Amino acid sequence: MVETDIKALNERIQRESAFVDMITMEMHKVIIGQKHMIERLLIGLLANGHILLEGVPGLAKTLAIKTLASIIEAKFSRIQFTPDLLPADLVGTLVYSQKKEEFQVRKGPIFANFILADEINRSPAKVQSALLEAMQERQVTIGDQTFMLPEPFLVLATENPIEQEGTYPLPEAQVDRFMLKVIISYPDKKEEKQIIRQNIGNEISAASTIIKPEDILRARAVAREVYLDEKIETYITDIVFASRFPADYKLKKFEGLISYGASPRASIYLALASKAYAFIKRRGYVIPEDIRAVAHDVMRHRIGLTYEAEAENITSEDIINEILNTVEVP
Amino acid sequence: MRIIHITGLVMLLLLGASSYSQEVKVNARLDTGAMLIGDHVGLKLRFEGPSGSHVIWPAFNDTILGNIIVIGRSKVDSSYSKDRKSLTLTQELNLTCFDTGFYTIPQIPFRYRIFPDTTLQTSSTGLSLLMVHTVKVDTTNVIKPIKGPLNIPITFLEVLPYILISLAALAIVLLIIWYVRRRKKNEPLIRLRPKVKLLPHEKALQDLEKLRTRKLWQQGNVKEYHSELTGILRTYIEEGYAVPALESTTYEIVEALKAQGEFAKPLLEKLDRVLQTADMVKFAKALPGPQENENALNTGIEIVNLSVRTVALQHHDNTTNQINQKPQA
Repeated sequence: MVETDIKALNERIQRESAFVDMITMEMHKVIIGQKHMIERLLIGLLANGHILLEGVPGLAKTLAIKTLASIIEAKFSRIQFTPDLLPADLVGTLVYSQKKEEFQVRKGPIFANFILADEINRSPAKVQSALLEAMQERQVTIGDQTFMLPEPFLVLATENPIEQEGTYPLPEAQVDRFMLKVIISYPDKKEEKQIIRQNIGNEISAASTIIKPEDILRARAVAREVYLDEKIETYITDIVFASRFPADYKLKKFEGLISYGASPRASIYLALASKAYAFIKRRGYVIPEDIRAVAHDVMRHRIGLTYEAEAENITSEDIINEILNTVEVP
Repeated sequence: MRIIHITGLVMLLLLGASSYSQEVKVNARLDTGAMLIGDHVGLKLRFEGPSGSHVIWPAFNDTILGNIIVIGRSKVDSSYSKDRKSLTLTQELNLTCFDTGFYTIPQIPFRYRIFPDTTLQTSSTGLSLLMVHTVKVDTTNVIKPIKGPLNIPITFLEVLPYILISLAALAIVLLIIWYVRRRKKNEPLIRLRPKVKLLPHEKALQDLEKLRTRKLWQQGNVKEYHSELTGILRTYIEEGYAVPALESTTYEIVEALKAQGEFAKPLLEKLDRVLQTADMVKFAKALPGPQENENALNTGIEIVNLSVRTVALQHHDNTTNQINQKPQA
């Protein structure tokens, strides 16, 4: 079999992606189970996209991101979103120095590589907007000075699916800025036992620092080079278009159930996330399996459901499943 | 200066003389001065004037003097003289009258302007006399009865609608008879030629042979060749094994077939190899050698041939079930 530049790219990826296994291994020293979440954290890291995590409390969301930060030798900030939080508490503010008789910039916790925005929906819209703007622009303006945020910059926002009273749900346009929305589920019985053992024992597992932020930036550049064939592009657009015009894809039953389909950001993020996924799998090209692997996390927060769908208990998961089972694989 | 004034005056006089010299003639003339009651008579109106004349043509009501009825009128016809200096306008009215007597058709005024003069002038025709006689009754002869209506021969066009209606009625009657007979015999209304539906393996083998004859990879279309090859195999699996192969990835297809247990392990490995090779060509720019391309097709044919028995049996079973179920239904 004669291969062209893909062969060289494959070899390069084999070399550059060696750290992926090491990160996963170090993560599993601290986190039991949650393979899906760890994999998605890596996708977000490699594809330069932010992640919205949804799961009940106590599923190691904070621990996972903290561990990842320690493995990468990066700065980590945890911001607990509360109703009285102000944008200045997040991005920073100008403080008057009596000694120097001038205003000085005091940077907020957003100036870190990894941000855990805990329970993002507990703060009002102005704070959410401040965070989401920083996520999009990757820069923050305090007073008349603009500061670039450090690279890599990864935001993990969490949402609690329970206790919805007194919350400020993120508007659709804001949610769309998150590359992935990951649903975290409970560990299985075996994992639960391991968690107990790990937490009651005397030995405290800790992850070692094995990689530097520069390595991540280099890996990102390589991940972007992963080959995405035109056939895969067509597959992506078919999936996204099926969410917009279901009747054109033999999904007429969903016509009255989808209020709005996935945005072009979904197509972009499907491509980027699948490239990152292929990189994690140490491949230099994207295959349909990669698209299917990331499709749920990329699309679940980008499909709007009608009242009829909610009344019939149809979720965006059902719609994505049906789309994936109907759209022809190249 | 004086000479100029005199010349201008002379020219003005000459111009006035020429405008007055342009004579206008109008007349209205009856074809005849006497006619029988109810008979027709023509009244010809005529205007003659210089070519620059603009005439307001006299308008007529339906009757003249109340008794003379205008039953027809021609369009106003215009003609120029050979030197195009004079214009003649004519119109012919067709008149009748149902009252005997002596009628004087009044003067008919023609109003006109002669370019460049914008003054509206009027010229009228002379009076015309018309005598309307009654028919003389010969009292010496015996009074005869009124003649009956005349028989006019019937034309083909008059009969044609009746012929067509009769034919249509006949056709409807025949159609009803034909329909009732078919129903009685329990025969279908239209006999369509039964479509020969190939079994999945027959179709797959046929398509694979067609693919070979198209010589796609030999022409450099390797990607298209492998896409079509896997397309044929996936369609075969979907139709023959009820696995949604067209909507599944290579891994999913192999796993589904493995779970089904219909494919023998070596056959499944071969299928996996063909699909994997095609995936590499389709998504990773791989270029297999000629032997590999040829082998992929041969392996495809082998896979279909070796799995054909099961598929055929499945179809046979389905058909048998359908036949068995029919009388119960």
